[in-house]
Amino acid sequence: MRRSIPLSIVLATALATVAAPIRAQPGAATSPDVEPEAIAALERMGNYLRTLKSFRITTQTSTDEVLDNGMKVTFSGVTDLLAQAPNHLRADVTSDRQQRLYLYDGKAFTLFARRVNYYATVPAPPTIGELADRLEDKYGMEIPLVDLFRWGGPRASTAQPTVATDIGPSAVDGTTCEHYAFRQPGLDWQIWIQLGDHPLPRKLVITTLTDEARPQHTSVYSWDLAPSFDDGAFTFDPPPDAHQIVFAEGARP
Amino acid sequence: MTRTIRVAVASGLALALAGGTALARVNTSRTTASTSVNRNYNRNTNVNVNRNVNVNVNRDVDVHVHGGYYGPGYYGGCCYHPVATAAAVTATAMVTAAVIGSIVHTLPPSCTTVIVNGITYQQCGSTWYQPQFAGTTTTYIVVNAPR
Repeated sequence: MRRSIPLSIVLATALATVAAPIRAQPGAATSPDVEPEAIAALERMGNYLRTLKSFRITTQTSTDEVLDNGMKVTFSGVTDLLAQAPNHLRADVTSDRQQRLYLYDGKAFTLFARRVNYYATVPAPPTIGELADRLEDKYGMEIPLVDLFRWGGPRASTAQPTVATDIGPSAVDGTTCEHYAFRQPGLDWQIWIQLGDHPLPRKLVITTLTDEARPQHTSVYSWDLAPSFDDGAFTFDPPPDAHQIVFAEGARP
Repeated sequence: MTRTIRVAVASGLALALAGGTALARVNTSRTTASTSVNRNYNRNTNVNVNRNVNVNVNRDVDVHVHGGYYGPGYYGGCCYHPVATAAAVTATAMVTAAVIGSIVHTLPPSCTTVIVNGITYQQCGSTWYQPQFAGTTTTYIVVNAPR
């Protein structure tokens, strides 16, 4: 028998250097709708992610927005993220609406908006996980693919899944995966985890339930587990015509 | 995640509407799909800071000309300036001054970047804006002239 462990604990964080204690919580996942095998699959994935010293992910994203008349429109994007545990991150986000470069070198965090040529820099905490917390708490900002850095850590969702189920085998970009579906307050989500010795997330679909239009966000991940880079990749060298601005505190636009 | 913005319609916008020259569309959208599973729903996050946005003059888009619901660069800031938008903004700006402290997502055309005491401003005619990142979105606060 597997222990009953809540989602917030079992999903291991890729780069959380402060290891989150694995705690058994009696009473969690006792519902027949919560399959222990589905929870265990997340645990395996999280543990594996935590072993990665560095990785590069190219992510194709698709995000719905709901117009006031109830119509959904879908925006596309690409996120190119390079991470080195525990304290280096570079993310290039290009979507229909935004081009943003996120840079973190263990000391400072910079957000650079290419089109408008603005950047802002703030001192940063010593790990990616703490950076994610700081940005969210203070500036209302998520780092790209934040789930990869949050799963399993203390800041994972406090919500336990009310449904966790194994849907079955499924191929993502030709790679055989196992497809799981979860429900927690406010959202449904699905994850495709690669089968074999490298249980990587290959696809994520999140459905927002708090809007009757049920907008979705989809990410499809391509992994490079042996990326080449140098330290300069994480340091911001502002273009000569770029202008420094500030982060609005507490803002979530 | 809700993006509905309360808008107090400026007098200039009202005039533009009265003249029938533009269709007002003040809310681009209401909800974006969550992009993260681990959004903590129970935390007390102060999300109200920028909700009481005053006037967003660039919402005054002729949707027929501009091609619909995209709106003038809700996220991007500078670079979506359809002709209809520019015309509407110019008309608005002539009628009423922007309210100090109000926040807009796009600037009127013909602004100049000015650095005063190390702070970046956008001067658009007699109105001064200070750009900032609100989350990852570039917004502009109307400020008093810094000099």
